[in-house]
Amino acid sequence: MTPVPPSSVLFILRYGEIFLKGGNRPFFERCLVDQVRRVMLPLGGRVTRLHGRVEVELPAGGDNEAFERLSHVFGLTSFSRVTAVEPELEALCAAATAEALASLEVWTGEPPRTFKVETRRSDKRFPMKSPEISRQVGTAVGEAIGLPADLRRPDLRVEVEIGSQRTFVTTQRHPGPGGLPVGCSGPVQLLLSGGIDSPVAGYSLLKRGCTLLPTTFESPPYTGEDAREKVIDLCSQLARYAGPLRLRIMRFTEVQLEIQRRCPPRMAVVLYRRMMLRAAERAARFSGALALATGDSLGQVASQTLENLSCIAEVATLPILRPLVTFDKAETIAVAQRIGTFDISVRPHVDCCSLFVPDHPETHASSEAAVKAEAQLGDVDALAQALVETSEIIEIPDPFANA
Amino acid sequence: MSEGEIIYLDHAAATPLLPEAAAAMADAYRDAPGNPEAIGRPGREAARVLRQARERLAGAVGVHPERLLFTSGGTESIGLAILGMLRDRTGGHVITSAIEHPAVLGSVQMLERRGFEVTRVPPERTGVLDPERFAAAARPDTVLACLMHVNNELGTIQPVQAALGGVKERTPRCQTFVDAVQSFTRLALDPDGWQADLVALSGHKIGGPRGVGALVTGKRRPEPLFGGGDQEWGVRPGTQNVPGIVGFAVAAELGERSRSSRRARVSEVSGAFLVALAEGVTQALVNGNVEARSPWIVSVSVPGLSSEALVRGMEEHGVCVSAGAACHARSQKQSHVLQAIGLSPRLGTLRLSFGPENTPDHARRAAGALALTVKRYAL
Repeated sequence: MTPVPPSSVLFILRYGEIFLKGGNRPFFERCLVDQVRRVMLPLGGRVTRLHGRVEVELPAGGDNEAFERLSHVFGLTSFSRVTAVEPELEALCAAATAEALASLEVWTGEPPRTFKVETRRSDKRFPMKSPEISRQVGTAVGEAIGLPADLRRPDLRVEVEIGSQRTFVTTQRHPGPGGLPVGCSGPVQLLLSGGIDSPVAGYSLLKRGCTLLPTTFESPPYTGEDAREKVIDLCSQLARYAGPLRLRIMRFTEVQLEIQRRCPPRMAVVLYRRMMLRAAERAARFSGALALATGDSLGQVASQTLENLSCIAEVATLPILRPLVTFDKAETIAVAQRIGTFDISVRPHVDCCSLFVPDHPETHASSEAAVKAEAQLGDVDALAQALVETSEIIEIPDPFANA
Repeated sequence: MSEGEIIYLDHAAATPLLPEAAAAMADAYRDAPGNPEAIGRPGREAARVLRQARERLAGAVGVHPERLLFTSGGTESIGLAILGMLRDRTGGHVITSAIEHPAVLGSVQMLERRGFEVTRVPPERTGVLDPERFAAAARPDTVLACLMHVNNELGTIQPVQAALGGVKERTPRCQTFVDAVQSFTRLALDPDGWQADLVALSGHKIGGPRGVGALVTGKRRPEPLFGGGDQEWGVRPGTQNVPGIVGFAVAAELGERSRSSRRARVSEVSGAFLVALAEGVTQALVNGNVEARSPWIVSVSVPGLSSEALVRGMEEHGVCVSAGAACHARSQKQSHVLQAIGLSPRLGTLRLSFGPENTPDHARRAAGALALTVKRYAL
């Protein structure tokens, strides 16, 4: 392994092991490394895949930015800034002592009363076994920092890892976002509104490794530029996790007005959603998406009763993923706040989903009633096709594409 | 949106800066950079430029220069008039109309919270106040009467002379205030004829810059609302915006000089709009009295789509207008003015406000854009 130049810092990134068994492991790892590269290369980082770890070498000084970015890479279970060291006991003791002292210096909150040294030795050429290394290094650290060891519930944890390619010491471990690396689960067509739920649905799918093809509908002049900007800003927020996105915008005005003019008002919401789903499915097939996704939550609003969900879903043949189907609103809001979409979603601009909504919408729509109402619209498949053909694509850049 | 020229019909919100005003401002920025209160030469030069601008504006308004107070714009002039005149009073009665600009209604509401009683006289359905009804609200304890000259949403001309004269007849000691922001350089201003003690003016409605306005005062000046230096006789402390005031004065002078010719041109433009509207959009309603209306503003309502959708629909055709008034167009509530004249909140309302650079062709294209918007999008 190349030595780390003094002007650089080293990060070790860990990922879950359970899902990595079997022949798919290299594929998962490749997706993960791609995602790490996406966020770290713009910072001048060098990303290397080690055995069971990813290593990032970064110019010194960008720690906080690096941590921020890594917390947006799904598939990582934890990451640490580490000190690289020669695989020799003396060097290990010195590095561990220095790390421990340094971490005490920046310690916040109640000062630590105990510590522990943990060793992982995957390079069996190293002449000592892990417990023995821990004991030896622990003695050196304990003398330097003047704290007793506690092997069960230590306040300060010093980790020593002796790998075949890299040996290092660290005292910190930042939790990663978990999940699967983006790109390993396939593309999904997300129906994105300006609301609170659908961005969280998008986030949830990214967390399970999907790539997102966001699609939104707008009804100008009833909806304005502000509503479009809102959706673009939501996409930018998701792009922190996803990388660059292509937002498809479909103009829904004429379809929505036709439904208003020709169909029973009670059915309007169900009919909007059936048309949106038809159009989204066409866009999905066009761009190779394997599923559709919505922010539906069971029973949250009138269109989300089981009857209505099924009446709406029947127009699509691709599977419809609904990550929030069992979420309470409060749970969705908590996620939205954490991922930074909430403040955007609550901007007060009307989107087309909340236009022309009747006072008493149908809550138990039947397939027959929907089909009968749609007969007034003419060829619904042609309408859906036209929505896709006239749609507009907006490129959403990766917010992490620059330093 | 269609390519090419934008037809700007939102002059009641802000007018383009006149090139003469811009040039005079550039000169002032370059040649008079000092603080007019400073003793040194640059200060004296700035003071001279300020004095000249005050004289020019006073000439345009037709008052003595010492009756002008410079402010940051219409809202501040209005606030200074209403709150400044009654700063040291603890109570009394105030008369205003229900269709004033939010700057007036907001300041009056602040008085109300301090214990003043307020009568808000409603307009007739034409959007014009009955002067008798306004004057009849006067009581022995009435301390202030506020009435706008031209309504900013409807363009209706209010009978300020009759209304304020009637109030003065009943309670001679009452202060009278006119918001002339929408009428200055468009219609004749006559503070003394109106028996108005105070008149508010704004720069960016007359081809001057944003961020500058004036208050015409009478025998009594208002009390200052905040402390500082003795600029503007201590009534409005703070270094004057000298270049802005210069631009304002130039625009006022040019505007007053060309008032009747511009009025004739704008009348032709808004007349062309009304004719084209009557032909093209049969379901349209023109709000406000046709006889007592400033030609600069036309308010139109149509059924079947919201004001916001109308504005955006017009924008698709390159026509820039406002929904009601620009100031609260984003709030999506029906405006208090349209409510006061009994307009159904289900109607969408546009305010078109014309300027001298508009042509009858602009007006006809605007009417055409409205017809298309209604045809395509109305339910």
